[in-house]
Amino acid sequence: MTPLDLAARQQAGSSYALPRWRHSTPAGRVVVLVAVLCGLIGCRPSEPVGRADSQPTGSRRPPAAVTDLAYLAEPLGAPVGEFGRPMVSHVSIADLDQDGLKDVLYCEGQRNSVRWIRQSPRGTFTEVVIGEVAGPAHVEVADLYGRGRKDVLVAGMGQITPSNDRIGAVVVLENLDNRTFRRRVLIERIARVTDVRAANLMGHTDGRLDLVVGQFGYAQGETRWMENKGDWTFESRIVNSQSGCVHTPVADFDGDGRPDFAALISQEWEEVHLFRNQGGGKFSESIIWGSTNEDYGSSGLDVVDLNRDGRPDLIYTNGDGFDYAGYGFRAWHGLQWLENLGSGRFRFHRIADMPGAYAPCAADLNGDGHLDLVAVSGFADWDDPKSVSLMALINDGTGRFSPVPLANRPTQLVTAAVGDLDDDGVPEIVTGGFYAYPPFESMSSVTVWRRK
Amino acid sequence: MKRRRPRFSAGNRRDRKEGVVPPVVVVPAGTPPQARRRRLWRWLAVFVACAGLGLGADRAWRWYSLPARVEAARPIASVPAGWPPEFGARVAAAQAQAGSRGGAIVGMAELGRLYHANGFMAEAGACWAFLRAEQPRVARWAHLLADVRRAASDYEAMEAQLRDVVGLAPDYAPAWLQLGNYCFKTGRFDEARHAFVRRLELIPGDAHAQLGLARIVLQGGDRVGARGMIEAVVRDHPRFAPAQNLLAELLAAAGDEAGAARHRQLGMVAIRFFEADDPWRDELVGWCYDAERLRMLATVEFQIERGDRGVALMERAARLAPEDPDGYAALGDLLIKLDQPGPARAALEESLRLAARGVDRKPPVMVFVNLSHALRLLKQPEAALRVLEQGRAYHEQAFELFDELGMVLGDLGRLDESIAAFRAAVAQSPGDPNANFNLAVALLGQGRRAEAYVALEQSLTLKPTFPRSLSMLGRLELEDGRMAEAERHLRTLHEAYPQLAEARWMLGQWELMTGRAAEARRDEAAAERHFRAGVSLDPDNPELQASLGVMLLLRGQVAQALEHLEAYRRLEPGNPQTALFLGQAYAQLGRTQQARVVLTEGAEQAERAGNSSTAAYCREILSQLR
Repeated sequence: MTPLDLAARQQAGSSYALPRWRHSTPAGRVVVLVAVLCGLIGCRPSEPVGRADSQPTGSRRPPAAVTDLAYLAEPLGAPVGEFGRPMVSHVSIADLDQDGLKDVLYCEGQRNSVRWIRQSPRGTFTEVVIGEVAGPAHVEVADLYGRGRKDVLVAGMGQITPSNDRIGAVVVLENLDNRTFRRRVLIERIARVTDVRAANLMGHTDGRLDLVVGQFGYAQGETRWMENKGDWTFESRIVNSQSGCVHTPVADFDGDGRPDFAALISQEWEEVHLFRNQGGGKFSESIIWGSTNEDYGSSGLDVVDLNRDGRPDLIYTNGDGFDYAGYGFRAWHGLQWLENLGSGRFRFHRIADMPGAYAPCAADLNGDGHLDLVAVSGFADWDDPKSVSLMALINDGTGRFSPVPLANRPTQLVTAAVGDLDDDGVPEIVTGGFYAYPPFESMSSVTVWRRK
Repeated sequence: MKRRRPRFSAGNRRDRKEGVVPPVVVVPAGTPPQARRRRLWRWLAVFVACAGLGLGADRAWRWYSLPARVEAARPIASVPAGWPPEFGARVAAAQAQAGSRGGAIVGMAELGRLYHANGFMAEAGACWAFLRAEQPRVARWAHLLADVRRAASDYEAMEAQLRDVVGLAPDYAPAWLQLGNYCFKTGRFDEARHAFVRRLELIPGDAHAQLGLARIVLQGGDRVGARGMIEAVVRDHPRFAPAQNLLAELLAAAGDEAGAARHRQLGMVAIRFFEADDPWRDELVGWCYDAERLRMLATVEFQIERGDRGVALMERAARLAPEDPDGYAALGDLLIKLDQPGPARAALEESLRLAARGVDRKPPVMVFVNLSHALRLLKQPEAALRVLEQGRAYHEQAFELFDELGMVLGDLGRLDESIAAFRAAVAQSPGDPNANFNLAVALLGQGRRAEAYVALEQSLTLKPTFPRSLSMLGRLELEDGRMAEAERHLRTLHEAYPQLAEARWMLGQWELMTGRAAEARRDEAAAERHFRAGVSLDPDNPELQASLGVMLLLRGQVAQALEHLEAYRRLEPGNPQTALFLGQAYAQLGRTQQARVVLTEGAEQAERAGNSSTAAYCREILSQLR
């Protein structure tokens, strides 16, 4: 897209710096002036005054060298041909039937289906459609009533492509016997739903779980939580009225023993909000961080204790290129880490630039004991065969991350999950392809990436 | 402005010579005053000389070392291949100017603008940092450096620069807004409030700052207070979409669904969000040679309803890369959207001509589709057909081409082939709403209603609120008397597009037909409910007004009937029946004079139309009036 690729620009940026001469800055000139004056009046300057750092503040430390890390791609589940141009909006790794083997669940927007790629026996994967949901955007499993079976929570957008219509729904595929699922619509005709997470927000003692619901909508959207009143009835409470909610990860962010949740609000807002659970159904809202760039492209938020200090952090991508002003990547797309400092405070760290970054997730990929990061790219310059679609960022343990491109093809990946599918101690990566824009080549539906 | 008088200037000495009383100097007793004064003056002179020398030396050193500083700071990145030669030439000229002693500052500024405007942000940052150091009191450099830092996601550095900007140029409102927004987004509401207030002082009534202040109140938990503030914003700026949208959701959360619906609609018709003006940054577009970026800006201009500016930017982008087919393809696409098929055709044909020269890239499918569309609009379907055949040589299986082919064949009257083309499109993309809708229309043209139903239902798979399909399905179901199915589609259509007149009219028709059916089975309560619902949806529907009015009149609820019969008369003033019913109502209410006038008009209208029975009724009632 842009003639200089980003890496080249970074290199160019680090190849020069302002001169290190003292006089190049105001402080440096003061030193010169004092020296001249003191020389003239016969005295010596005292210790030099401090020199302002003339290095461009935007430059980042170069990444450390990384050991080799290579993955082999294998298609999983339904082939591309079944969808035409696949729209895999979300993949998730979970042991749905609790047979001790991890499965893959995913949402696909061309066929409006939620699919379960069941692993049984080990290493054999079989796909079944377990539910039909219009515009499915997010799937995860949770035992909503403490019955010992994992239900499937689905965020239904109504339609994946932009719409302001109130066509969203929260759907649960109730797990009846680990084989059959009953479709239950908990709420519908609301702004398009992009995320549903389960958590015991109310402190229930009978195994019930409440829900946190992100609703992107389009121009209008909101974030709500739904109290589980029992017997599949839920009571909604809206906690934020901004459009563009993408993800709502849940964790005890403030360490008070109660689950809180965060919300990534994109659209023109580009903010991360924190909702701290005060107990009794009360939440206090604060803004953790936000970009003043209205085209920042917030695309993914997940929770992980990245520095292993006991406090859940947030990892965050901005790479959404489904922009109304023309799709494609932007120079500022990348990954960041919002380090949890406790008491609701977070520190922003930019980790890496990555065109079209989506789906941040964490795992110790190289087995060095530090959590590394993975992200995929939904938008890059796909005319350039060197454009990266799957990237690892290797953590050296000091908060420095070295980018390691893992794949250039298939292109246009917007979702990823990391988990040890074969229980060999080495995590696999699962990705999903989403093809709303050309090129309609090098396509994939679901792919599993195994380390070579 | 007052000019401060130098304390140790020649002017002081002149004053003394001219007999002005010198300042009193207190000196210790015991020292001859003149000697002490001389010594003091001598020291002062030495100090002044030293300071002058020092400043001079600094200036000289800076002048002497400027080329070295420029050399060290100047980005050395050469312009990569593929950029317009003019851009390379301007960069080279700016580089040369920056390297000269006399033009270093101007050259670096030009270089910074060129790099910044074209996305070479690291290079631009180096230029702005240099200029910041050389001209620390120029706010513009800090502001542009802040923008570079923002693009690099280095927000702390961005904030530092913005703070410098507002210190150096406290009347530059865009910097206050950016600072306010960043403070807000990092939870520092007091600082944010200060910045927003400063902006409002500079731009009274500014929507962005007002919204920022309202959001601070909202974050403080005062939803009612925030709502009031946002209501004020939308009163002053009804086209400011973020405020309309946020207000809609706040109203919904407070249970005011009607208010929410109203503001949702206003938010939808408002132009898309766009950043506040920032003249120092916005002027950089004049230095932009990045065709891709210009095309993006053109799209934004189109989306904020400034299509002419969009076209100008697209044309500039195309001129910058005259051999790039993408530029003309994008221009053609925009012109099609602006309903200018002639210029669109020229741009798209140019795109294809350029693409034909290249060997490694095939023209995008949408170029063929758009060109065919333009030709259809120009009533040249045969030419459109040739374009699509050309397109299929590149994109054999693209459903977009099949879809457009169906349209062209339909225009040519080759209906069977048209249906086959639409079916081929649907086979490639089963859920595509347009292709399915087009197939349905073609099938209906051949009377294949059942198949059309299937295609229409299929068109709603990926877009459940696709308006054309909902409307057509609703109409078909009404015609076929399947009222429950019709209601499902028409209610969905109306909820999704409450502003759409057709949606209101069709749902109103459904209410009318359902009301009449209820009337026929003597369920008057249900009939009245439906007629009232219909009138509330579509008060300009004369049949609904008449049905409700006549029903109430026959029931003896004349006062209630009156408003509907008056509306009926207003909507169909030439229809003598409206006069007959309204005249009866007036007569029953004792408004004899009005009844006489209306019934006389009605009788005359009926007689002119040859409607003798209505005329007779009117005359009969007239004869009974006293």
